[in-house]
Amino acid sequence: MSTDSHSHGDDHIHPPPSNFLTKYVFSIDHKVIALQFFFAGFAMFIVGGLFALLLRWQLAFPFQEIPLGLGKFFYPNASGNLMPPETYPTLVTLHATVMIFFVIIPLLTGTFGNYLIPLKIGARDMAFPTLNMLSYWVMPPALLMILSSYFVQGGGPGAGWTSYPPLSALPQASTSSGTGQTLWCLAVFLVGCSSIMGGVNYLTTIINLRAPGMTLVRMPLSVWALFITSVLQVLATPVLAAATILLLFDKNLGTSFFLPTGVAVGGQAITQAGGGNPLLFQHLFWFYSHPAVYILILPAMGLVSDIMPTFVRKPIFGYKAMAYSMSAIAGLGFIVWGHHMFQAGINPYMATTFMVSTMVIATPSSVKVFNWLGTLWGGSITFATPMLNCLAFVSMFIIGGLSGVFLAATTIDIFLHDTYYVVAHIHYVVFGGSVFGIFAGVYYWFPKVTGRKMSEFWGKVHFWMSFVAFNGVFFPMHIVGIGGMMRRIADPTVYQHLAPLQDWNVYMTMFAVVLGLSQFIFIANVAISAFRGEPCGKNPWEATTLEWTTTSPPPYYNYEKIPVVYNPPYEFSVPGMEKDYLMQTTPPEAV
Amino acid sequence: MKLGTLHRRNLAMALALACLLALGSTSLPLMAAEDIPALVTDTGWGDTTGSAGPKMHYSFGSWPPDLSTHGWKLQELYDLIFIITGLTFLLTEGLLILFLFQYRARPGHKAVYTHGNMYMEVAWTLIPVVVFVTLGISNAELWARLKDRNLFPKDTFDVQVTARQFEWKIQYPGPDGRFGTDDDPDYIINELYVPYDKPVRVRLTSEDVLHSFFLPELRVKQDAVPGMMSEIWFEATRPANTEIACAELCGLGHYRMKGEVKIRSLEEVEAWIEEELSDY
Repeated sequence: MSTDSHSHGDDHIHPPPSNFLTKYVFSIDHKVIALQFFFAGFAMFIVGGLFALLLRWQLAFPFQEIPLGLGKFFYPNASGNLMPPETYPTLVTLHATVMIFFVIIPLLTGTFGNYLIPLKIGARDMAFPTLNMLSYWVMPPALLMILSSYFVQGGGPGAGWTSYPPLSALPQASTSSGTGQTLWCLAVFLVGCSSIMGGVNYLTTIINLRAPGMTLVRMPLSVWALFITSVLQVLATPVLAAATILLLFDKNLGTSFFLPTGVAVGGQAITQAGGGNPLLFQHLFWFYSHPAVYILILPAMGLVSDIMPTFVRKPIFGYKAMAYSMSAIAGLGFIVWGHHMFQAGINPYMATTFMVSTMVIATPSSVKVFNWLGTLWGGSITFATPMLNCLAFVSMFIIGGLSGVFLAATTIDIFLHDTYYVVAHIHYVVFGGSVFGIFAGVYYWFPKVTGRKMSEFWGKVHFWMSFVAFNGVFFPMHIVGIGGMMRRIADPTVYQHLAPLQDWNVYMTMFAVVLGLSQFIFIANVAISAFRGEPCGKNPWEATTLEWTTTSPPPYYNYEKIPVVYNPPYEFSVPGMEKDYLMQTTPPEAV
Repeated sequence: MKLGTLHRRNLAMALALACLLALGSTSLPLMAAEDIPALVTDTGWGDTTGSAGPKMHYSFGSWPPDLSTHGWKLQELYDLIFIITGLTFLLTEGLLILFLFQYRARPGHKAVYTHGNMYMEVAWTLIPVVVFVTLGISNAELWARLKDRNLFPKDTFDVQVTARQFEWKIQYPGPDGRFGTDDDPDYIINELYVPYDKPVRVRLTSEDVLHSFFLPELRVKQDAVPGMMSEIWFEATRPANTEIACAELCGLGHYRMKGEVKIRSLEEVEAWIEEELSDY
C-alpha cells in the first residue's frame, strides 16, 4: 500500500478542468484553493484593520467625530456621526475574531499549507482534494455571517473574542448578545470545521504522499511546522466547536451549562435553571485557544526557517532541534491554558502549576531563536524583501516572547492581567511574528505562484513603513499597560490613574493610521506585479527545495514526473561544489 | 565601484540600527527611579527592613503609585524578570544586528557549511529551562500568600463587594462581624472605605456577568464571578483616595464601571460605617 502511494501516479496525470466553474471556483486543485484562501484572508485583513483603526480613533479621541464625516459610513446604526456606546465592545470583538479566525489562520494554514505541502513533498495534490475544497467552501458562509453580524439589530457581538458567558449568553445583559452573538458562535463553529478538515487532510497528505526519498528528516521545516500545526488543529478545535455550541444552547435554547444559579440582570432574575459554571467555558475556550496561539505562530516559524537559509546561503542551524522544539511547543501547548485564568478564581496552586508549565514552554521558543541566530552566524546574507521580513519576525518574536515571561509570573500577572501589556504581548507575537512571517512568505513564493517577481523597491518601502509603524503602535502599549490601562475600555480618560497616559494613546493612533495605509502599498505591489512583474524562471532565489524544480507557476499536476529526493532540504555552500546550492533532487552521482 | 555597494549596505544597516536605538531611547526617559516608602513592619512579610527605602526600579513606563504593603515585593519580582529578560533582549538582538553586519554578503565571502552543534543545543535548552523555572518558583510564595485563604492574615477588616452592571455594591458585616445576618447595614454603591495599617479581606462576587475587581494602586485584581465567592486581601500603607476599575469586559458600560476607594484610619472608617448604619 505504502510503496504504492509513494510511486503512484507517473502514469495517471489528470488533465486540468476546462470548465471555468471547476477550474477557478469549485476547484479541487490545492493551488487554486490556496489562492482562494489568500484572497479571502486579505480581504478580511482590510476589514479587521478598519475595525482596529476605528477603535484606535476612539481611544485617542473618545467620543469625538471621525474626520471627513466617515462616522455615518462606519456606524450605520448611529444617529449622526458619533459612535454609539454599545459599538465599542463590538469593534474589539470583531477586530480580534476577524484577525485570528479569518485572517491569520486562513492565510497561514489555508494559503501556505495548501500551496506548499504538496509541492514541497513532491505530491500531485492533497490526499483528499474534495475535502480540501469543502474546507474552503465552509469559509464564505462564515465570512458572511461575521460581516453581517456588525449590522444586525442590537449590534454585533460585544463580549470580546473570548465571548465569556454570562455576558455572551444573556441578551438581557447586553443587546449585542442577541443575534450578533448567535452569528458569532455559528461563524466560529464553521471556521473550526474548516480547520479540522484542513488538518486531517494535511496530516494524511504528509504521512502518505511524500515523494520517494522524502524521509521525515528531509522534509523542509515549513512542512514540519504545518504537520505539527495540523495535529493541534485536529486535537484542539473540536473543543472550541463544543464550547461554541454549548454557548449557543445557553443563549438560545434555555440550557445553563455556563450559567450559575441566582444570576440576575438589573435586578431581574433570569429564567434559566442555573447550576452551571462560567469558569467551565473559560477552561474549554482556552483549551482550544491556547494551542490556537501556536496554530497562529508555528506555520510562520516554519516559513521563516525555510526562507532564511536561502538568503544566508547556509544550511539551517540545528534542523532536528528546530523540529523537536516545534513538537515540544505543540505538546506543552496543551497544558498551559490555565495561565489565561490566573485571576479568574481558580485554585491558587493550580495557577502555580500552570505558571511552571508556561515557564517551561518559553524554552523551546528560545531554542528556536538561538537556532535562527546560529543560522545567521557565518552566513553570506543578502537583504532581499523576504529576508527583511524574516528578520523582523525573529526580532519582534523575541520581544513578544520576553514580554510573555512577565505575564506568566502569577504575581506580576495580578497587575498586568487584562491590561494593555497583554495587548502589546499578543500583537508582538501575532503581528510582529505571524504577519511579518506571512509577508515574508508572500514575497518569497510570489514568483512561484505567478511566474513574476514582486517589486523589490516597493517591497522595501512597505517593509520599512510597516516595521517602524508597527513598533510605534505596539511598543507604547507596554508603557500604558504598566500604567494600568485596562483592555477593552472605550474611554481611558474616565480614570485618574490613566490621565498621564492619554498622550500615548494619541501617539499610537497616529502610527496605526500609517501602519494601515502602508498595507495598501503591499496590495498594490501584489496586484501590479502579478501582471507587470519581472518574469522569473523556475528557481529565482536559487533555493533547494522541491517546489523550485517545477515551472513557475506550476502545472495543474505539479510534477510531470514524481521527483526523487536524495538530499536534506537546506544544502547551501556545500564545500567542493561549483554552485553554492544543492537541490534536494540532485542525485549523488551528479554532484 | 565595489565600495559603492558596500557603502549602501552599511548605510542600510546603520539605518536599521538607528531605528532600533530610536525605539530604545523612547523608553529611556521612562525608566523611572522611584522612592519606595518605608513600609510598615508588622505585615507578616518577615524582614522588610532591608528592602525598604529608596530603590531604583527599572521598567518601561512607570507604575501607578503603590499604596499596598505587598506591592514592593511584587515589584521586586518584576525587576528581577526585567533584568533577566532585558539582558536576554540585548544579547539576542545585539547578536542579530552584529551578525547581519558581520556576515553580509560581499565579494569573496563564502558562508560556513555547518548543520549545527549538539553542545550548543543542549546548553541553550537547559539554561533557559533552569532560569525560567527558577523565575516561576520565585513567585510561588508571594502568590500563595496573596491568594490562598488558609494563609491570609488572621485579624482582618472584612468587606463584601458584589459587582453588577455597572457598579460596585459594598457591604459591611455590621456589629456581629458576619455577613448575611440581620444587623448588616445596607449596601453602598461605588464607595469603599477601608483602613490602612490593617489587612482588609474582601469577599467578592457578582450578580450578573463577569467583572474584575481591579485596584491599580493597591496591586489587587480578582475576577468577580457570579455564583462563586472569591476572597482576596490587601493592606494599605497610608491614607489616600484611589479607584476601583473593572478589568473584565462586562458590557457597554464597562469603561465607566468605576468606584472610589477611601483609605482612612480604622477609627474614621468605623465612624463612617456607624453613620451609614444609623441612616439605615
